[in-house]
Amino acid sequence: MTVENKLALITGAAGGIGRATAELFAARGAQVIAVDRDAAPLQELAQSGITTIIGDMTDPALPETLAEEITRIGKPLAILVNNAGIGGGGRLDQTSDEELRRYMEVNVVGLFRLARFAVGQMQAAGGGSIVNVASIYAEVGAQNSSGYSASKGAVAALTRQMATDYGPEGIRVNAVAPGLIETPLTAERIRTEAWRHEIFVEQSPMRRVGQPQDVAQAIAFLASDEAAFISGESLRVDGGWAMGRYPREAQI
Amino acid sequence: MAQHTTEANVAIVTGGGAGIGRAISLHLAEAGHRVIVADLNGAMAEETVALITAAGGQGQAETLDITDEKAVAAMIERVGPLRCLVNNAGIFNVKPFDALEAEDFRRMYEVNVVAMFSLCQCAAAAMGQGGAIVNIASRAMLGSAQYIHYATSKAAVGGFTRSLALELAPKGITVNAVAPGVIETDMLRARSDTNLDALRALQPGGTLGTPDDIAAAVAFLAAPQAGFITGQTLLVDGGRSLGGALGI
Repeated sequence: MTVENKLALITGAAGGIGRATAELFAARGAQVIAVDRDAAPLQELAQSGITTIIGDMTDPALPETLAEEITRIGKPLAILVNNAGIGGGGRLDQTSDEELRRYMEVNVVGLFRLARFAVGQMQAAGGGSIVNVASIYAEVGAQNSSGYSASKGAVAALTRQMATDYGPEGIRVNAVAPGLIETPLTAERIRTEAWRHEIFVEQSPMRRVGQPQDVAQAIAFLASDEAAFISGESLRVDGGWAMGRYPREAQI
Repeated sequence: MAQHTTEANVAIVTGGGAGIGRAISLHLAEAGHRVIVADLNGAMAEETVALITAAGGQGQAETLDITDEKAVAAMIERVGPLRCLVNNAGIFNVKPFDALEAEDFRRMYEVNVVAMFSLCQCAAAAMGQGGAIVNIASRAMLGSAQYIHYATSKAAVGGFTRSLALELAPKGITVNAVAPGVIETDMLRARSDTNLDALRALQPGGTLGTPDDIAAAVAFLAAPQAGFITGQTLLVDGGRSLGGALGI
């Protein structure tokens, strides 16, 4: 996949999907700037030659810091992977205004701000590719997720609008919609919460949850020149989960 | 793209003799598959194989009418263990609704849907545990005037892909589709009823797609790296289907 020698900015790169993506891009010869608010895991990435920036998605000054770093590197920003976000459950009646604002502040406002920054950089360079990490919860109904799903729905809509606006300037914008992905946090939940294991493993078509690498591969494809004619799309990486539960005993 | 090193690295591409099918064959060969290039036109299939060989890959030509169930079964039996099937062969023609006859529908569905089913059934059996099927749909599936028989046959490909994905998931076989938008093939250039500039004006990026654009998407979905993606139809249309707000 042709991300070789391209400058790629990846947010939420300290763990999970973001980290797998940063490692995959680096392995394919991209020059990676990894952003996260957690300093310690970033240091490990720095040891493998990745440029790291400690930064918070809710910080309005983050684009400025990134602009300085990009100027220092002296290469146009070709790829943005807008991965940073927060997750969590809660039905509407269990979600306060404050919690809702937190989802929106990180998953929508922070992502919007970085996308605006990247578009500016890419317009100057004559094109680029943006991949937003949405969620399968942006596309199908699921229990116990109101604020998070609403924020990811906004990401899905923004992806289409940006693709329409900036296509003429050579900027492609796509999304991935991951299903349940195994990270240190979710692995614990899948182990300890029986209902989660039942729905996401036992009743999923492939009988497994996804790995961060599964999503990283899809992001790398959409970001690369191989996907030059793909824009405004949302690619589900969910093992077929959103097409319907598939109870083991009822193969009908 | 990573080279496959598994034993069953064989891929079948129907309609591999020209255009999108030829590009898919070349991409899959480059990814390390031994590619069975099946086409109604055996000479064209041979030409594709010659291109594969020249590029250092492995290929084999097969003359195949995909609507001939027995021929399909015999070919897949000859080929043996399979890693990948790409259902690319299909037909297209333009006919307004009031001129369409039931026979037009039957013929379209016979090639674009029923033959795809036969190929999938034989191929899935030859894949054992694990493999990838990629069907070529079309953005026409979203709704298109002047060729409702074609558009709905491609909508059927989307529905078939989702259902078969559910059925084959326990076997570790992924089933996905790629839905091309307007692709600049020799066939498109040869059509007298098309104005390429008018088509380009409908694209957000101002350009039409190439067979390589489709082939790259197929190769991605066919690779083990896309093993957690199934039942999906990936539109490769340059954003054309995003709607009308293009400011033109």
